[in-house]
Amino acid sequence: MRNCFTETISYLDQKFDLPQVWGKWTWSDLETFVKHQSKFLARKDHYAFFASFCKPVKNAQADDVILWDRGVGVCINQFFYWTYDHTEAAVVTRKIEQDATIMRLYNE
Amino acid sequence: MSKTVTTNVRNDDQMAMLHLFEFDMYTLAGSFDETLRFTDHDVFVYDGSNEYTPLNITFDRLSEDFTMSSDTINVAIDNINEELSALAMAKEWRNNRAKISRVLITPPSETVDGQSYDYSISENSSVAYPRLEIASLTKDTYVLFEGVIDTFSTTTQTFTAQLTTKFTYWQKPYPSRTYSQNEFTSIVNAISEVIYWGRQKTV
Repeated sequence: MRNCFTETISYLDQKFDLPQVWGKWTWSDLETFVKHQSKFLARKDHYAFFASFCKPVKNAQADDVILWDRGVGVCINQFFYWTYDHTEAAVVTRKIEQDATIMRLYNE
Repeated sequence: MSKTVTTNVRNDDQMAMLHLFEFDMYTLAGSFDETLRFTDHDVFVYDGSNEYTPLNITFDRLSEDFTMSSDTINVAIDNINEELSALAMAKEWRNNRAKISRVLITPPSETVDGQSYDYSISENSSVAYPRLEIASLTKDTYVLFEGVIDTFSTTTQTFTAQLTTKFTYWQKPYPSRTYSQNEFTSIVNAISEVIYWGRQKTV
């Protein structure tokens, strides 16, 4: 199963050392994670998870994390990001919205 | 500058065309900052060393003649949620290099749901997101226009710039400003002393 979190975390995990467990969530158990993602989103746990190893920034650069209420993506440059679109069942690129939250990994 | 299209692309059955745009940005202090790269293709384009961001970008029809007068071209770019206008205010676009290249390619093959296609919709990405990588494709590339950004204007939706050829330098030794040259001769003289062919003297 794939969603925007599994794709983002899998991608970032290849480049950086991400925490494998946060709270009750274990990223390697993607099936369980995807199954309960609405609960994860409703509690805004995705903001808290990324905030645990990222710092908020104003201007995006490559490999920054972009967050909004219903999802997460990875910045390509200062203008665009990519994310897994649930409806299209594919990775898509989109323009960065001004009100989105952008975070940069500490260890970058 | 050559605009000859070789037989590379025409030997194949299919041909696709895209444009690559480059704009040099300088800091307000006059030092080079970055090159913004855009394309009118529908996905990112990678030429082996640089990546071009897909944007809604259009430009005037180009025309040429034998006169030595400066030609101009208008480029309209999606303002990307006002990101471009924010950049334009923080850095210097004017009098910096602008380049438009045309690329004719033979679209790469692609397999979709087990079905193989000789020519795809131009996407052969090796990264996490859709991207056309043209380095290894059969292609012809030539420069359509190379000049400098003269003026720009912007709305929340669109960023519009006027480009002029490099011959502008022959007629205009310093960047156009908003004040009258006649009324502020001392300022103009001061600029003329440090600006040489549109660039600040480094020696």
